[in-house]
Amino acid sequence: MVEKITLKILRSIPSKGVKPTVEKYSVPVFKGMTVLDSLLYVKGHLDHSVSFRYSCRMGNCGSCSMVVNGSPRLTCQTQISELGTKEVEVRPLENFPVIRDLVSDYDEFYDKHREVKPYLIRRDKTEEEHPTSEYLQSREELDKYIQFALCIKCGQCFHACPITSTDIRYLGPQALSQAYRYLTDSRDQDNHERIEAVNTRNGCWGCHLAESCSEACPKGVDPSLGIQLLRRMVLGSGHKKRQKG
Amino acid sequence: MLHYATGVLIVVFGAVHLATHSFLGVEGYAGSLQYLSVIGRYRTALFAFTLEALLVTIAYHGLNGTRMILLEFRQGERWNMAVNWLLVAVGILVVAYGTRTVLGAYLWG
Amino acid sequence: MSKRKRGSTEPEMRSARKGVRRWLYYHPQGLGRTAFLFHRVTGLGLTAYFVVHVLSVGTILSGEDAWEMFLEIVETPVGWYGELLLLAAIGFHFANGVRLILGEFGLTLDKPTRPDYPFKTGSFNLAQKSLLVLAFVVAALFVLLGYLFIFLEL
Ligand code: SF4
Ligand code: FES
Repeated sequence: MVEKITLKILRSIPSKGVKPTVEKYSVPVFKGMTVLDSLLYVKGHLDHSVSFRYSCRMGNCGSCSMVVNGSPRLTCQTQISELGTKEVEVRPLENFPVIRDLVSDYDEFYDKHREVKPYLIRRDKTEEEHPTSEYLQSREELDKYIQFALCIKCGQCFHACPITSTDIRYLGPQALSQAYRYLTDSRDQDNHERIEAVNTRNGCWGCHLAESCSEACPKGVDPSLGIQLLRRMVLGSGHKKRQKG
Repeated sequence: MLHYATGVLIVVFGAVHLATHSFLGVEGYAGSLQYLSVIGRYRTALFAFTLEALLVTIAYHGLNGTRMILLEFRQGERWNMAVNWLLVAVGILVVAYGTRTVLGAYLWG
Repeated sequence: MSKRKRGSTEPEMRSARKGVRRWLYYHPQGLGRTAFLFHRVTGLGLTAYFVVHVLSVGTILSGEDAWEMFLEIVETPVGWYGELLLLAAIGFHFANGVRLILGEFGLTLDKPTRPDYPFKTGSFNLAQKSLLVLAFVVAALFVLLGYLFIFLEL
Protein backbone atom coordinates (compact mmCIF):
# COMPACT_ATOMS: atom_id res chain seq x y z
CA MET A 1 0.00 0.00 0.00
CA VAL A 2 1.21 3.47 -0.77
CA GLU A 3 1.61 5.84 2.08
CA LYS A 4 -0.73 8.82 2.02
CA ILE A 5 -0.74 12.20 3.65
CA THR A 6 -3.46 14.80 4.02
CA LEU A 7 -2.50 18.05 2.39
CA LYS A 8 -4.35 21.01 3.84
CA ILE A 9 -4.32 24.08 1.64
CA LEU A 10 -5.56 27.49 2.71
CA ARG A 11 -7.46 28.79 -0.30
CA SER A 12 -8.94 32.20 -1.03
CA ILE A 13 -9.54 34.68 -3.84
CA PRO A 14 -9.64 38.12 -2.17
CA SER A 15 -10.45 40.03 -5.37
CA LYS A 16 -13.60 37.95 -5.86
CA GLY A 17 -14.49 38.00 -2.19
CA VAL A 18 -13.83 34.28 -1.68
CA LYS A 19 -13.01 33.94 1.99
CA PRO A 20 -10.07 31.81 3.18
CA THR A 21 -11.05 28.18 3.66
CA VAL A 22 -8.95 25.11 4.30
CA GLU A 23 -9.33 22.35 1.76
CA LYS A 24 -8.04 18.84 2.33
CA TYR A 25 -6.54 16.55 -0.27
CA SER A 26 -5.26 13.04 0.14
CA VAL A 27 -1.91 12.65 -1.59
CA PRO A 28 0.18 9.50 -2.04
CA VAL A 29 3.82 10.00 -1.06
CA PHE A 30 6.88 8.67 -2.79
CA LYS A 31 10.42 8.68 -1.55
CA GLY A 32 11.99 12.11 -1.74
CA MET A 33 8.69 13.86 -2.50
CA THR A 34 8.75 17.56 -1.75
CA VAL A 35 5.85 19.70 -0.63
CA LEU A 36 5.90 21.30 -4.07
CA ASP A 37 5.58 17.86 -5.67
CA SER A 38 2.52 17.16 -3.56
CA LEU A 39 0.99 20.47 -4.64
CA LEU A 40 1.69 19.54 -8.26
CA TYR A 41 0.04 16.17 -7.67
CA VAL A 42 -3.07 17.93 -6.41
CA LYS A 43 -3.08 20.22 -9.40
CA GLY A 44 -2.54 17.36 -11.82
CA HIS A 45 -4.92 14.75 -10.41
CA LEU A 46 -7.34 16.20 -7.90
CA ASP A 47 -8.12 19.87 -8.40
CA HIS A 48 -6.66 21.94 -11.19
CA SER A 49 -7.92 25.22 -9.70
CA VAL A 50 -5.37 25.23 -6.88
CA SER A 51 -2.96 28.08 -7.55
CA PHE A 52 0.63 28.40 -6.46
CA ARG A 53 3.81 29.82 -7.85
CA TYR A 54 7.08 28.06 -8.61
CA SER A 55 9.71 28.00 -11.30
CA CYS A 56 13.16 26.55 -10.74
CA ARG A 57 12.32 23.62 -8.40
CA MET A 58 15.86 23.73 -7.09
CA GLY A 59 15.88 26.41 -4.43
CA ASN A 60 17.29 29.04 -6.71
CA CYS A 61 14.44 31.39 -7.56
CA GLY A 62 12.50 31.84 -4.34
CA SER A 63 9.07 31.87 -5.96
CA CYS A 64 7.79 28.78 -4.16
CA SER A 65 7.96 30.30 -0.64
CA MET A 66 5.00 29.26 1.48
CA VAL A 67 4.21 28.59 5.07
CA VAL A 68 4.46 24.85 5.66
CA ASN A 69 3.21 23.55 9.00
CA GLY A 70 3.55 27.04 10.41
CA SER A 71 7.11 27.78 9.31
CA PRO A 72 8.22 29.66 6.21
CA ARG A 73 9.80 27.26 3.72
CA LEU A 74 10.89 26.89 0.15
CA THR A 75 8.43 24.16 -0.77
CA CYS A 76 10.68 22.76 -3.47
CA GLN A 77 13.42 22.22 -0.89
CA THR A 78 11.22 20.73 1.81
CA GLN A 79 10.69 17.00 1.72
CA ILE A 80 7.52 15.64 3.19
CA SER A 81 9.46 12.98 5.05
CA GLU A 82 11.53 15.59 6.90
CA LEU A 83 8.36 17.18 8.26
CA GLY A 84 7.42 13.90 9.87
CA THR A 85 3.69 14.57 10.03
CA LYS A 86 0.72 12.83 8.43
CA GLU A 87 -0.96 16.16 7.85
CA VAL A 88 0.83 18.90 5.98
CA GLU A 89 -0.65 22.36 6.12
CA VAL A 90 0.28 24.91 3.47
CA ARG A 91 -0.56 28.61 3.72
CA PRO A 92 0.57 31.67 1.76
CA LEU A 93 3.25 33.91 3.29
CA GLU A 94 2.10 36.49 5.80
CA ASN A 95 2.73 40.24 5.46
CA PHE A 96 2.00 39.89 1.74
CA PRO A 97 -1.43 40.50 0.20
CA VAL A 98 -2.81 37.28 -1.26
CA ILE A 99 -3.69 37.22 -4.96
CA ARG A 100 -5.15 33.75 -5.01
CA ASP A 101 -4.70 30.64 -2.87
CA LEU A 102 -0.97 30.30 -2.22
CA VAL A 103 0.11 33.07 -4.57
CA SER A 104 1.05 36.26 -2.77
CA ASP A 105 1.60 39.73 -4.15
CA TYR A 106 5.29 40.71 -4.13
CA ASP A 107 4.86 44.23 -5.54
CA GLU A 108 5.44 46.01 -2.27
CA PHE A 109 8.39 43.78 -1.48
CA TYR A 110 10.06 44.49 -4.83
CA ASP A 111 9.31 48.21 -4.59
CA LYS A 112 11.12 48.30 -1.29
CA HIS A 113 13.98 46.39 -2.82
CA ARG A 114 14.11 48.95 -5.61
CA GLU A 115 14.11 51.80 -3.12
CA VAL A 116 17.63 50.99 -1.93
CA LYS A 117 19.01 51.17 -5.48
CA PRO A 118 20.15 47.57 -5.81
CA TYR A 119 22.63 48.09 -8.63
CA LEU A 120 26.16 49.37 -9.02
CA ILE A 121 26.28 53.13 -8.99
CA ARG A 122 29.21 54.70 -10.86
CA ARG A 123 30.36 58.26 -10.62
CA ASP A 124 30.34 58.49 -14.37
CA LYS A 125 26.71 58.08 -15.47
CA THR A 126 27.52 57.24 -19.08
CA GLU A 127 29.86 54.59 -17.78
CA GLU A 128 27.06 53.27 -15.58
CA GLU A 129 24.78 52.78 -18.60
CA HIS A 130 27.47 51.56 -20.99
CA PRO A 131 30.32 49.95 -19.07
CA THR A 132 33.55 50.09 -21.04
CA SER A 133 35.34 47.25 -19.31
CA GLU A 134 34.97 44.61 -16.65
CA TYR A 135 35.41 45.81 -13.09
CA LEU A 136 37.94 43.54 -11.47
CA GLN A 137 37.62 42.48 -7.90
CA SER A 138 39.79 40.46 -5.56
CA ARG A 139 38.55 37.45 -3.67
CA GLU A 140 38.72 39.35 -0.39
CA GLU A 141 36.57 42.11 -1.79
CA LEU A 142 34.05 39.55 -2.94
CA ASP A 143 34.03 37.84 0.46
CA LYS A 144 32.82 41.04 2.09
CA TYR A 145 29.39 40.88 0.53
CA ILE A 146 28.98 37.45 -1.05
CA GLN A 147 26.82 36.23 1.81
CA PHE A 148 24.22 38.92 1.15
CA ALA A 149 24.45 38.49 -2.60
CA LEU A 150 23.05 34.99 -2.20
CA CYS A 151 19.58 36.43 -1.51
CA ILE A 152 16.97 35.02 -3.88
CA LYS A 153 14.19 37.49 -2.96
CA CYS A 154 12.02 34.74 -1.62
CA GLY A 155 10.35 37.03 0.90
CA GLN A 156 10.62 34.73 3.88
CA CYS A 157 12.44 37.30 5.97
CA PHE A 158 9.67 39.77 5.13
CA HIS A 159 7.18 37.19 6.34
CA ALA A 160 9.08 36.66 9.57
CA CYS A 161 9.83 40.24 10.60
CA PRO A 162 7.76 41.47 13.57
CA ILE A 163 8.32 45.11 12.62
CA THR A 164 7.07 44.51 9.10
CA SER A 165 3.92 42.93 10.48
CA THR A 166 2.81 46.26 11.97
CA ASP A 167 4.68 48.92 10.01
CA ILE A 168 3.87 49.09 6.31
CA ARG A 169 6.59 51.66 5.62
CA TYR A 170 9.48 49.71 7.10
CA LEU A 171 11.78 48.66 4.28
CA GLY A 172 12.23 45.17 5.66
CA PRO A 173 15.20 42.85 6.15
CA GLN A 174 15.66 41.95 2.53
CA ALA A 175 15.94 45.49 1.15
CA LEU A 176 18.18 46.65 3.97
CA SER A 177 20.60 43.76 3.73
CA GLN A 178 20.75 44.36 -0.02
CA ALA A 179 21.61 47.99 0.65
CA TYR A 180 24.53 46.73 2.67
CA ARG A 181 25.46 44.27 -0.04
CA TYR A 182 25.85 47.08 -2.61
CA LEU A 183 27.46 49.51 -0.19
CA THR A 184 30.28 47.07 0.54
CA ASP A 185 30.81 46.23 -3.11
CA SER A 186 34.17 47.64 -4.16
CA ARG A 187 32.83 48.42 -7.65
CA ASP A 188 30.16 50.71 -6.27
CA GLN A 189 30.94 54.44 -6.14
CA ASP A 190 29.27 57.56 -4.84
CA ASN A 191 26.83 55.76 -2.64
CA HIS A 192 25.44 58.64 -0.62
CA GLU A 193 22.10 58.29 -2.42
CA ARG A 194 21.74 54.79 -1.10
CA ILE A 195 22.80 55.78 2.39
CA GLU A 196 20.22 58.52 2.27
CA ALA A 197 17.57 55.99 1.27
CA VAL A 198 18.21 53.79 4.29
CA ASN A 199 19.16 56.40 6.87
CA THR A 200 15.60 56.84 8.17
CA ARG A 201 13.30 55.53 10.86
CA ASN A 202 11.75 53.22 8.29
CA GLY A 203 15.15 52.20 7.05
CA CYS A 204 18.00 50.71 9.01
CA TRP A 205 16.92 52.39 12.27
CA GLY A 206 13.61 50.55 12.26
CA CYS A 207 15.18 47.19 13.04
CA HIS A 208 14.98 46.01 16.65
CA LEU A 209 17.04 42.86 16.40
CA ALA A 210 14.43 40.15 16.84
CA GLU A 211 16.52 37.77 14.70
CA SER A 212 13.46 36.24 13.05
CA CYS A 213 14.62 37.12 9.55
CA SER A 214 17.94 35.37 9.94
CA GLU A 215 16.22 32.33 11.35
CA ALA A 216 13.82 32.21 8.42
CA CYS A 217 16.22 32.75 5.53
CA PRO A 218 16.62 29.55 3.50
CA LYS A 219 19.87 30.71 1.89
CA GLY A 220 21.90 31.58 4.97
CA VAL A 221 21.93 35.26 4.07
CA ASP A 222 21.56 36.47 7.66
CA PRO A 223 19.79 39.75 6.82
CA SER A 224 19.93 40.86 10.44
CA LEU A 225 23.72 40.85 10.34
CA GLY A 226 23.58 42.97 7.20
CA ILE A 227 21.30 45.51 8.86
CA GLN A 228 23.47 45.89 11.96
CA LEU A 229 26.59 46.32 9.84
CA LEU A 230 24.69 48.76 7.65
CA ARG A 231 23.89 50.88 10.69
CA ARG A 232 27.50 51.04 11.66
CA MET A 233 28.37 52.05 8.13
CA VAL A 234 25.67 54.73 7.96
CA LEU A 235 26.79 56.10 11.31
CA GLY A 236 30.42 56.07 10.27
CA SER A 237 29.63 57.85 7.03
CA GLY A 238 28.36 60.82 9.01
CA HIS A 239 25.60 60.84 6.42
CA LYS A 240 27.93 62.64 4.09
CA LYS A 241 28.88 61.97 0.56
CA ARG A 242 31.25 59.05 0.59
CA GLN A 243 33.96 58.37 -1.93
CA LYS A 244 35.09 54.87 -2.67
CA GLY A 245 37.85 53.48 -4.83
CA MET B 1 21.05 57.96 19.03
CA LEU B 2 19.89 59.86 22.09
CA HIS B 3 17.90 56.77 22.90
CA TYR B 4 21.05 54.69 23.30
CA ALA B 5 22.82 57.47 25.16
CA THR B 6 20.01 57.93 27.65
CA GLY B 7 19.83 54.16 28.02
CA VAL B 8 23.43 54.08 29.18
CA LEU B 9 22.99 57.14 31.41
CA ILE B 10 19.99 55.58 33.12
CA VAL B 11 22.10 52.59 34.05
CA VAL B 12 24.62 54.90 35.73
CA PHE B 13 22.13 57.15 37.50
CA GLY B 14 19.86 54.24 38.33
CA ALA B 15 22.72 52.48 40.06
CA VAL B 16 23.50 55.59 42.11
CA HIS B 17 19.81 56.00 42.89
CA LEU B 18 19.44 52.45 44.16
CA ALA B 19 22.71 52.66 46.04
CA THR B 20 21.83 55.88 47.83
CA HIS B 21 18.41 54.49 48.53
CA SER B 22 19.86 51.42 50.16
CA PHE B 23 23.00 52.68 51.84
CA LEU B 24 22.40 56.28 52.83
CA GLY B 25 19.51 55.26 55.03
CA VAL B 26 21.24 52.73 57.22
CA GLU B 27 17.96 51.68 58.86
CA GLY B 28 17.24 48.85 56.44
CA TYR B 29 14.37 48.61 54.01
CA ALA B 30 11.44 49.67 56.18
CA GLY B 31 13.50 52.35 57.89
CA SER B 32 14.69 53.76 54.60
CA LEU B 33 11.14 54.69 53.74
CA GLN B 34 10.44 56.70 56.92
CA TYR B 35 9.44 60.28 56.23
CA LEU B 36 12.41 61.88 57.89
CA SER B 37 14.85 59.49 56.33
CA VAL B 38 13.48 60.14 52.86
CA ILE B 39 13.39 63.89 53.31
CA GLY B 40 16.89 63.70 54.71
CA ARG B 41 18.05 61.97 51.56
CA TYR B 42 16.38 64.53 49.36
CA ARG B 43 18.48 67.16 51.10
CA THR B 44 21.74 65.54 49.95
CA ALA B 45 22.92 67.23 46.79
CA LEU B 46 24.06 63.94 45.20
CA PHE B 47 20.68 62.31 45.70
CA ALA B 48 18.76 65.30 44.43
CA PHE B 49 20.96 65.63 41.38
CA THR B 50 20.67 61.94 40.54
CA LEU B 51 16.93 62.13 40.91
CA GLU B 52 16.63 65.04 38.55
CA ALA B 53 18.94 63.42 36.02
CA LEU B 54 17.03 60.15 36.24
CA LEU B 55 13.79 62.00 35.80
CA VAL B 56 14.84 63.59 32.55
CA THR B 57 16.64 60.59 31.08
CA ILE B 58 13.95 58.05 31.93
CA ALA B 59 11.24 60.36 30.68
CA TYR B 60 13.05 60.68 27.38
CA HIS B 61 14.02 57.03 27.05
CA GLY B 62 10.66 55.64 28.12
CA LEU B 63 8.50 57.99 26.11
CA ASN B 64 10.70 57.71 23.04
CA GLY B 65 10.44 53.94 23.28
CA THR B 66 6.68 54.24 23.53
CA ARG B 67 6.75 56.56 20.56
CA MET B 68 8.69 54.05 18.46
CA ILE B 69 6.14 51.37 19.21
CA LEU B 70 3.16 53.63 18.55
CA LEU B 71 4.57 54.91 15.28
CA GLU B 72 4.87 51.32 14.06
CA PHE B 73 1.17 50.74 14.58
CA ARG B 74 -0.13 53.17 12.04
CA GLN B 75 1.49 55.15 9.28
CA GLY B 76 0.61 58.63 8.18
CA GLU B 77 1.52 62.23 8.90
CA ARG B 78 -1.44 62.96 11.15
CA TRP B 79 -0.85 59.95 13.34
CA ASN B 80 2.86 60.82 13.63
CA MET B 81 2.12 64.38 14.69
CA ALA B 82 -0.54 63.30 17.18
CA VAL B 83 1.75 60.74 18.80
CA ASN B 84 4.72 63.09 18.89
CA TRP B 85 2.88 65.99 20.48
CA LEU B 86 0.97 63.84 22.92
CA LEU B 87 4.17 62.24 24.21
CA VAL B 88 6.04 65.55 24.33
CA ALA B 89 3.20 66.96 26.42
CA VAL B 90 3.21 63.97 28.77
CA GLY B 91 7.00 64.24 29.05
CA ILE B 92 6.91 67.93 29.93
CA LEU B 93 4.17 67.39 32.51
CA VAL B 94 5.95 64.50 34.21
CA VAL B 95 9.31 66.25 34.27
CA ALA B 96 7.73 69.45 35.59
CA TYR B 97 5.88 67.61 38.35
CA GLY B 98 8.95 65.60 39.28
CA THR B 99 11.15 68.68 39.35
CA ARG B 100 8.67 70.32 41.69
CA THR B 101 9.06 67.38 44.08
CA VAL B 102 12.82 67.29 43.90
CA LEU B 103 13.37 71.03 44.24
CA GLY B 104 10.64 71.39 46.84
CA ALA B 105 12.09 68.71 49.06
CA TYR B 106 15.67 69.81 48.49
CA LEU B 107 15.12 73.51 49.28
CA TRP B 108 12.28 73.62 51.77
CA GLY B 109 11.77 70.00 52.86
CA MET C 1 -8.50 42.07 -19.40
CA SER C 2 -7.84 44.83 -16.95
CA LYS C 3 -4.38 46.24 -16.96
CA ARG C 4 -2.06 44.85 -14.33
CA LYS C 5 -1.44 47.50 -11.71
CA ARG C 6 1.98 48.30 -10.35
CA GLY C 7 2.65 48.38 -6.64
CA SER C 8 0.37 47.49 -3.75
CA THR C 9 -1.99 50.11 -2.41
CA GLU C 10 -1.87 51.09 1.22
CA PRO C 11 -5.15 49.37 2.23
CA GLU C 12 -3.97 46.20 0.55
CA MET C 13 -0.70 46.25 2.45
CA ARG C 14 -2.51 47.04 5.67
CA SER C 15 -4.99 44.22 5.24
CA ALA C 16 -2.15 41.77 4.78
CA ARG C 17 -0.58 42.71 8.10
CA LYS C 18 -1.62 40.89 11.22
CA GLY C 19 -0.08 43.46 13.53
CA VAL C 20 0.77 42.92 17.16
CA ARG C 21 -0.67 39.42 17.17
CA ARG C 22 2.48 38.31 15.41
CA TRP C 23 4.69 39.61 18.20
CA LEU C 24 2.90 37.26 20.54
CA TYR C 25 2.47 34.31 18.29
CA TYR C 26 4.90 33.31 15.62
CA HIS C 27 6.34 30.02 14.56
CA PRO C 28 9.16 29.19 15.09
CA GLN C 29 9.33 31.51 18.08
CA GLY C 30 13.06 31.95 18.44
CA LEU C 31 14.99 33.15 21.45
CA GLY C 32 15.76 36.50 19.85
CA ARG C 33 12.11 37.17 19.17
CA THR C 34 11.16 36.29 22.72
CA ALA C 35 13.74 38.77 23.93
CA PHE C 36 12.31 41.36 21.56
CA LEU C 37 8.84 40.84 23.00
CA PHE C 38 10.08 40.91 26.60
CA HIS C 39 12.09 44.05 25.94
CA ARG C 40 9.03 45.85 24.61
CA VAL C 41 6.69 44.68 27.34
CA THR C 42 9.12 45.49 30.16
CA GLY C 43 9.89 48.83 28.50
CA LEU C 44 6.24 49.84 28.34
CA GLY C 45 5.63 48.55 31.84
CA LEU C 46 8.59 50.44 33.27
CA THR C 47 7.51 53.65 31.57
CA ALA C 48 4.04 53.32 33.04
CA TYR C 49 5.54 52.58 36.45
CA PHE C 50 7.86 55.57 36.13
CA VAL C 51 4.99 57.99 35.50
CA VAL C 52 2.95 56.61 38.40
CA HIS C 53 6.03 56.63 40.65
CA VAL C 54 6.85 60.25 39.89
CA LEU C 55 3.29 61.33 40.51
CA SER C 56 2.85 59.38 43.74
CA VAL C 57 6.18 60.25 45.31
CA GLY C 58 5.12 63.88 44.98
CA THR C 59 2.98 63.35 48.09
CA ILE C 60 6.11 63.87 50.17
CA LEU C 61 5.72 67.59 49.67
CA SER C 62 2.36 67.54 51.43
CA GLY C 63 3.93 66.66 54.76
CA GLU C 64 4.40 63.56 56.88
CA ASP C 65 0.78 62.47 57.12
CA ALA C 66 0.26 62.31 53.39
CA TRP C 67 3.48 60.33 53.03
CA GLU C 68 2.39 57.86 55.71
CA MET C 69 -0.89 57.35 53.89
CA PHE C 70 0.98 56.72 50.67
CA LEU C 71 3.22 54.19 52.41
CA GLU C 72 0.19 52.38 53.77
CA ILE C 73 -0.97 51.72 50.25
CA VAL C 74 2.39 50.65 48.91
CA GLU C 75 3.91 48.83 51.85
CA THR C 76 1.72 45.77 51.65
CA PRO C 77 2.62 42.23 50.57
CA VAL C 78 1.16 43.00 47.17
CA GLY C 79 3.34 46.08 46.91
CA TRP C 80 6.43 44.09 47.88
CA TYR C 81 5.85 41.39 45.34
CA GLY C 82 5.13 44.10 42.81
CA GLU C 83 8.49 45.53 43.66
CA LEU C 84 10.15 42.19 42.96
CA LEU C 85 8.42 42.08 39.59
CA LEU C 86 9.67 45.60 38.98
CA LEU C 87 13.21 44.51 39.78
CA ALA C 88 12.92 41.60 37.37
CA ALA C 89 11.77 43.94 34.62
CA ILE C 90 14.56 46.41 35.36
CA GLY C 91 17.17 43.66 35.43
CA PHE C 92 16.06 42.20 32.14
CA HIS C 93 15.58 45.49 30.34
CA PHE C 94 18.98 46.67 31.52
CA ALA C 95 20.98 43.57 30.60
CA ASN C 96 19.15 42.94 27.35
CA GLY C 97 19.54 46.62 26.50
CA VAL C 98 23.30 46.26 26.80
CA ARG C 99 23.16 43.31 24.42
CA LEU C 100 21.06 45.26 21.95
CA ILE C 101 23.34 48.29 22.02
CA LEU C 102 26.35 46.08 21.31
CA GLY C 103 24.58 44.12 18.60
CA GLU C 104 22.93 47.04 16.88
CA PHE C 105 26.27 48.69 16.29
CA GLY C 106 27.63 45.50 14.81
CA LEU C 107 29.86 44.71 17.78
CA THR C 108 30.05 41.13 19.08
CA LEU C 109 28.70 39.90 15.75
CA ASP C 110 30.44 37.54 13.34
CA LYS C 111 31.93 38.67 10.05
CA PRO C 112 29.99 37.87 6.89
CA THR C 113 31.14 34.56 5.41
CA ARG C 114 30.35 32.24 2.58
CA PRO C 115 27.44 30.39 4.14
CA ASP C 116 27.48 26.62 4.09
CA TYR C 117 24.66 24.35 5.02
CA PRO C 118 23.68 24.04 7.87
CA PHE C 119 23.69 27.80 8.10
CA LYS C 120 24.92 29.61 11.14
CA THR C 121 23.49 32.97 12.04
CA GLY C 122 26.42 35.25 12.63
CA SER C 123 24.14 37.94 13.99
CA PHE C 124 22.91 35.64 16.72
CA ASN C 125 26.15 33.92 17.55
CA LEU C 126 27.43 32.52 20.80
CA ALA C 127 28.31 35.96 22.15
CA GLN C 128 24.85 37.36 21.55
CA LYS C 129 23.14 34.22 22.83
CA SER C 130 25.15 34.18 26.03
CA LEU C 131 24.46 37.87 26.56
CA LEU C 132 20.76 37.11 26.21
CA VAL C 133 20.91 34.27 28.69
CA LEU C 134 22.87 36.60 30.94
CA ALA C 135 19.97 39.05 30.76
CA PHE C 136 17.66 36.47 32.29
CA VAL C 137 20.27 35.66 34.91
CA VAL C 138 20.62 39.34 35.80
CA ALA C 139 16.84 39.62 36.12
CA ALA C 140 16.83 36.66 38.51
CA LEU C 141 19.73 38.15 40.44
CA PHE C 142 17.93 41.45 40.86
CA VAL C 143 14.90 39.65 42.22
CA LEU C 144 17.07 37.69 44.64
CA LEU C 145 18.80 40.81 45.93
CA GLY C 146 15.48 42.60 46.21
CA TYR C 147 14.08 39.65 48.13
CA LEU C 148 16.98 39.66 50.55
CA PHE C 149 16.67 43.41 51.00
CA ILE C 150 12.92 43.76 51.31
CA PHE C 151 11.86 40.61 53.09
CA LEU C 152 14.90 39.74 55.15
CA GLU C 153 15.94 43.35 55.79
CA LEU C 154 19.58 42.67 55.06
S1 SF4 D 1 17.35 37.53 2.63
FE1 SF4 D 1 16.94 35.32 2.66
S2 SF4 D 1 14.82 35.19 3.39
FE2 SF4 D 1 15.13 37.29 2.73
S3 SF4 D 1 14.44 37.35 0.62
FE3 SF4 D 1 16.65 36.98 0.57
S4 SF4 D 1 16.87 34.76 0.48
FE4 SF4 D 1 14.76 35.19 1.13
S1 FES E 1 10.79 26.79 -7.19
FE1 FES E 1 12.53 28.11 -7.30
S2 FES E 1 13.10 28.15 -5.21
FE2 FES E 1 11.50 26.69 -5.13
